[in-house]
Parts: sequence; structure tokens; C-alpha cells
Amino acid sequence: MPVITVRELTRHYRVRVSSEQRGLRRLLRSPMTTVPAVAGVSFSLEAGEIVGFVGPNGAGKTTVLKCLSGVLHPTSGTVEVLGHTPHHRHRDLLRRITLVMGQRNQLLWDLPTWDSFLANQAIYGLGKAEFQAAVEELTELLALGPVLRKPVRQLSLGERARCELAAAMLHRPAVLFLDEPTLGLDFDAQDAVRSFVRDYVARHGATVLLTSHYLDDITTLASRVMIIGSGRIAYDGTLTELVGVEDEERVLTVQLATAEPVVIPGVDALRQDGTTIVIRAPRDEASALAAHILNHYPVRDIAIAGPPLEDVLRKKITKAARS
Amino acid sequence: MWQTYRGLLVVSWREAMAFRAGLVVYLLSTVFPFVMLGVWLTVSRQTSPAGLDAEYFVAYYVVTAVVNQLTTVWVAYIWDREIRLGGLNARLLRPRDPVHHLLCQELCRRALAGSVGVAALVVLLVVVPGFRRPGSVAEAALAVLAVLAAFALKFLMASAISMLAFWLTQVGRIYMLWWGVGFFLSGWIAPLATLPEGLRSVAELSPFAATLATPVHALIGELPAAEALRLLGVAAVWILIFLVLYRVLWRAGLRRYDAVGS
Amino acid sequence: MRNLRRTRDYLRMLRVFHRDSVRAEIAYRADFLAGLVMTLYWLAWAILGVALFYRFTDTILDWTFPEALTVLGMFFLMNGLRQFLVSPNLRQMAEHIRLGTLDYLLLKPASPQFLVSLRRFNPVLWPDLVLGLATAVTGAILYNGPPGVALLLLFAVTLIAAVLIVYALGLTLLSLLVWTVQADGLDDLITAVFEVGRFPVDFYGGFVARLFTFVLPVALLTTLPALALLSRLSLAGAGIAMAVAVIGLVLSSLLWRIALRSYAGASA
Repeated sequence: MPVITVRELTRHYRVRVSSEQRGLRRLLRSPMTTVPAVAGVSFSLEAGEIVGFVGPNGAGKTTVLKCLSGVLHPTSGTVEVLGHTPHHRHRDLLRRITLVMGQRNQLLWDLPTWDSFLANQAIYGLGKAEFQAAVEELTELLALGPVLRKPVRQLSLGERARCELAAAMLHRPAVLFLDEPTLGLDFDAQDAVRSFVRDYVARHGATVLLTSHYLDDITTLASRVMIIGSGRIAYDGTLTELVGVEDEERVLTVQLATAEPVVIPGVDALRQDGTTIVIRAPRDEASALAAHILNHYPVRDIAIAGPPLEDVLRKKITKAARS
Repeated sequence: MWQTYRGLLVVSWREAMAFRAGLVVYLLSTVFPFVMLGVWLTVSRQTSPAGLDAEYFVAYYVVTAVVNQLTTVWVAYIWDREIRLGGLNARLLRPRDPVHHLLCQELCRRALAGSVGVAALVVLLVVVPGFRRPGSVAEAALAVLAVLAAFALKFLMASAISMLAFWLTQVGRIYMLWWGVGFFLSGWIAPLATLPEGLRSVAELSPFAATLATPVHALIGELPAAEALRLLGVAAVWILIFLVLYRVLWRAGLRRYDAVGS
Repeated sequence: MRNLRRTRDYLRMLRVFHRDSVRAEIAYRADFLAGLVMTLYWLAWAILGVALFYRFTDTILDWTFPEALTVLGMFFLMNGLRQFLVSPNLRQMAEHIRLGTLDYLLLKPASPQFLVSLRRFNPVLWPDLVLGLATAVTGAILYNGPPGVALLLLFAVTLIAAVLIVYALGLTLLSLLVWTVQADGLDDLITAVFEVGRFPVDFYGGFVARLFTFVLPVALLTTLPALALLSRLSLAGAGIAMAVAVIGLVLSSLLWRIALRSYAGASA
């Protein structure tokens, strides 16, 4: 049985047509208009899946996550998470899910993270033993240690992100909604967040829906990818399939052993910097072309590679989101 | 210098205008003088406190509200914040002393906030013939001068006390302590005539009377020109004292600020 | 049984939230002492302010100085409660809306109303609450000796009603904030309205007195509990205060729900 089921989820926003007026007058005068943020989205997630949810800004990713976590009411369609309708906000559901939004702070700014932990302990009604075990596990997985006792405003961005994540995970949720959890972090901090998610899922079999603009997050964590564009799902399948479709090309990088640049006739050169030529070729013809070049030109080095995964994904997402 | 002020005033006026919604709320919340007026009116129906009548109280508190709008300065909080949180660094980079910009901001805020009160006062003077007013053009001119002196004095008092922020963290509280005394001696709580005799003469010599009681009394025609000149003299002395105090503390504070390197 | 456990959970949250606030607001013991000194200072000035009126008459509309002192004490208590409870949560709510973190509150397995209205306190105001109450009781004792048990019970009822009304006012402002977004203006306005409670409401005479009794119930916050403490209030008076408090509570909760729905888009 799926953990998350979404059928024909649609969510409209009513927004004011922007006007110069401010405050009350704007409230009273400017006309409202309806903007569809999500238009008929359906999918389901099985227990233990980590699904990457990608698409350009404004495609509706965050709206879907907010509907799934019960923050927003859907305009139409049904959403079911762990057997509950999220926007009914049943306690049993809320105690088993979490939502993390990158750079939206929920820690108490002037106090150490530890105090936020205690507040969450009270709010989630965690028993002493339960709390202790969770803190120990999170401290280990996120290498928190002494960081917990420092006031939040003194933490570095990376430390803060780890603390935010820990505070959101104290009740050890079974379903994680992560909205850009690595936004604005440096590489080490991004890495820490990723390995945390991977380890947590490995230990607890949690289900994760993750959005990110850093495709590294998606490629290292998710085996399944959903692409959303203009409020609709444009692709839903495995990462390998998604990449495979585009994987019909090879790139040859040739370094000539000549002093002068040489033009190789009849090939589709991507670019040429002096004696280095980058050539694109269909997969089946790549080795023949390499042999041809080796036989006819003075070559110092030649390399054949698939296009970088990032590029493939980026191209694919942009294309899918637009269609 | 004039060029600088013209530029700063234009910018400050725009800042004040951008904040005008906040000012409207601030105006609406000037309740205290009217609360006090309500009680004095009730008292004056039973007796004649210190020989004052209902008509006097109405004029006194209405004009108090207007003068307060024209002279309230927020500069103490701004100095305190800038000095303690390091915002001063950016201001010090500019070639002019930051006080000029703060003064322009205060002037524009007061012009905007005070305009409502002044307009209301003018309407009152026209519509209610019995409403108290200065007896002559000369007295009226002295009243305007008294309002300007009150503004200058409040600005310099706030600035001088704020300079303590270079050394202390609780300047906000010291400022409140200062004004705790000031609320009584300035005539904000009640007309000085209702205070015990000895206290009244202390009040008139203190810097506080000049911030409110003097301009209010001048505006409601309770100050003959000679008396007004005497009180304006007191105001001038205090203005000078606080000006010197503020400049001395500013220089010393800057030296310390450099040394601490905050 | 389950309700009992929930109540206990909420009380525990309240304790943790209060402790948070103490830690965030009071870095040093000196801060708290300075706050105490300030409260005493303002209270002294306020008492002198009332005494000024009584230089010229022994009673103002049948209110003697000790009676007016009782009202002033209630004013310190209720105005302190406003700054203790309403202002910090209002500021917090404005932050939530500005930064989009209100979403996090909706994710918690606790009542969102509870989490927005009782999350932050300003413990520096504790002296105002305690000294205000002490002043009110002192005034009552000066007026007609130590109050009896029945009197204290009646006073307790009016006091609870007053606290509930302050809470309801705060919740109303929090709800309005969902639409107006700016907290400062709302806080300034409620501060101004409370200022009226400094003196017995009769002092302002007919129309104004009625306005602040029935439309903006400031009289119910200070004058009425003072009357109870001075044994000048009938049982019916206390009943009316409680009724107003309950109605206020229901209406403000309703408004909060509407605000929340508009935020989450249940109606869109």
C-alpha cells in the first residue's frame, strides 16, 4: 500500500492584482485574480522511496509539498498521507511527518538549538527516553555535538542548516518533505545533509519527497524523479531511464600533437581551443570516428565520454517542464 | 552646508512620507493628554483646582497634544541602536557628521506628524472664538519661537544622553528615568500650576518646562511677553548646556569607538 | 482522561515556552533587577499623578484616593499583562508572516491558536503584574480593611474575566495581522486604548465612560475588578464581566479560524 497517494491535485491561489496602494486601502480596492499553481497532479510513493521532485521556480513544487503536509488545503483532488487527509491536521499524522524548507528558520534565534529541541519535545509530547534516543541519534548522524549549546544566531550557515534539520526530525517522522534543504549551503554542508538523509532512510525506512535545484542532491539520493512544469507532472520514472533517453551521444576530446590548429573536415566540432577539439558524435559512430582521427592526424590524447549527468538532467528537465 | 541640508531634507521627507501610514496610527494613539483632560474636567466641576477652570484645561491639553506632536523626537533610539549595533560604522564613512541626517529626519517626521495637529488647532481657533490664543502678534511670534526651542532642546537632550551608549548598554532605561522626572516637570502630566508651589519653581528652572509648558502656555496666551522672554532665556541656557555636553560626549565617544573597534 | 492528558501536555508546553522567553529576554540577573527598578519608578510617578488630583478634593465622583489607587494598581496589572502576553506574540506573528514560517506552526501536533497566542512572553513585565496587584490590594485595604474570602472570590472572578478579555483582544489582533501584516500599528493602537484604564472610568463622564465600558471594554479590565475588590460590585456585575469575557473568547477564536482558513486557502 502506498504511503502517499495524490489524485488530480489542483491548487489555485487567489492573488491581488498588484497596485501602488498599501495597507488597508490595497486590501479593499485591488481586484482578485485566480492563479493555478498546481493543475491536476497525480502520483504515489511507496514506503522507503526517496523521490526527487524537480522543476523550474514557480512550477508548483512547494505548493505540492505544502498540500501534502497539510499546510495548504487543496482546491480540488485528493491527497492521502499515511492513511490521513493531511489538511485535517490529525495529530497522529502530524507526529509522523516533517517539512523542512531551506533557509526558513524555525529555531529560536537568540537561544541555543538545545532550547528549540526542548520546545519541540513539549510540542510533540516526546517522553524522556524517546527524546534522549532521538537526540543521541541525530547528534551522531549530523555531527552536532557542541554546536547544540551555541546560540543559533552565532552558528554558521552550515551548522544552522544541520540544527534546523535535527529540530525537524526529533519526533523521528516516517515521511519527510524536504523543500530545497541544501539551498545556499557550501559543498561540505550540502554533503552532510545528503548523507544524513541517506542514513536516516536506511535506518528507519522513511519515505522522502525532496525538491532541489542542486541536481547533485537528486542524483545522489533519489532513484526516482518527478519533473513538474507549469503545475503538471511532465515526467515520472527512474533516474536511469531519464538519463538513458539522452544517453545516445558521445563526446570526443582530442588533443593534437601539432603546434598549429588543424581543421578535421566532416566532423561536428563542438568547439576548438587551439589544439584541443571537442567533437559530438552518435554513440554507434564514436569509436569509428576516434579510429579515423587516430589514423589520420597526429594525436597526443583522445578521450571518449558520455555527456555529464548534470547536463543531461538539466536539458531534460528544461525540456520536460516546458512541454 | 546649505547644499547638504537641501539634499538631506529631500531624502528625509521621502522617508517620512514612505512611513506616513505608521504616523497616522501614531497620531491616533496620542491618548494620554485627553485622558488627563477628562479627569481634570470632572475635578473642575467639583472645585476650581489651583484657580484653573474647564476652559483652561481644554485649551491646555489640546495644545499639549499638538506641541507634543511637533516636538517628540525618536533620535534617542536611533543613536542608541546605531552606536550599540555598529550601524554607526557606515555613517562615519560619509564625509558629514551623521547628526545632520538625523536632524533632517526628525524635522521631516515632525513636520508631517505635526501638520495634522497644527491644522486641527487652526480650525479650532477659527471655529471656536473663545478658544484661548496669544494676545498679540508679538506673543504669537514668541510662541512659535518657544516651539522651536522645545524641539531643539529635546533633540539635544536625547542626543546628549544617547552618547552614553558608547560606554553603557542600558541607555534606553536611563533615558526613561530622565523622562520619568520630565513628565512631571514639563507639564505633560498636569499644568505646572497644579504642582506644589516649591516644585513649580524647580520645574520652571529645569530644562523640562521649556520642552512643553512654556510653548503651550505661550500658545494659549497665558504668558505675557516679558514672562515668555524670561522662560525662553532659561531654554536658551539649557540648549547651550546640552549642545556642549552632546559635542563633548560625542568626541570622547568616537575616540572610544575607534579604540574598541566595534 | 484523554482531555486531562492533553491539558497536562499544554501546561507543559506553556512552562517550556515561558522558560524559553526568560532565557531569551533576560540574559543577566541585572536586566531583571533593572526592570524591577523601572517598574517601581513608574509606579511611584503614576501614584503621584493620581495624588495630584486629590490635592484639590477628597473625592472625585465618590472615588476616594485609596479607591483610585486600586484602579491604578489594576491598570498596572492589566497593562503589564498586555505587554507580557500580547505584544511579544504579536511581534512573533508578524515575523512568522514576513518570513513564511507560519507554515511550521501548522505542522505541529498542537493547536495553532495556542502556538501563536501563547508562544512568547516578556518576563521583564513580571514585576508590573505583581506590584500592580499589590497596589490594588493596598488601596482596598486602605479603603475598608483586609478583604474577606467572599470578596476575594468575587475579585478572582472579575480578574479571570479581565485576563480572558486581554487574551481575546490579543488573539483578535493576531488574526487581523494575517491580513494587515504590520504589527507595530496594531500594538500602538491597543496601547493607546489601554491608557484609558488608568483611572476609574466614571472620571471621563457620560459618553466616553459608556464607550469604554461597552464598545472597548477597558472598564472591565481595571475599574470593574477594582470595584469588586472594594466590595462595591454586585454579583450580577461579575456575571456580566464573565459573560463578556466568554463571548469575546468565542468571537476571537472564530476570527482566528477564519484568518487561518484564509491563510491556508480553505475557502479559495
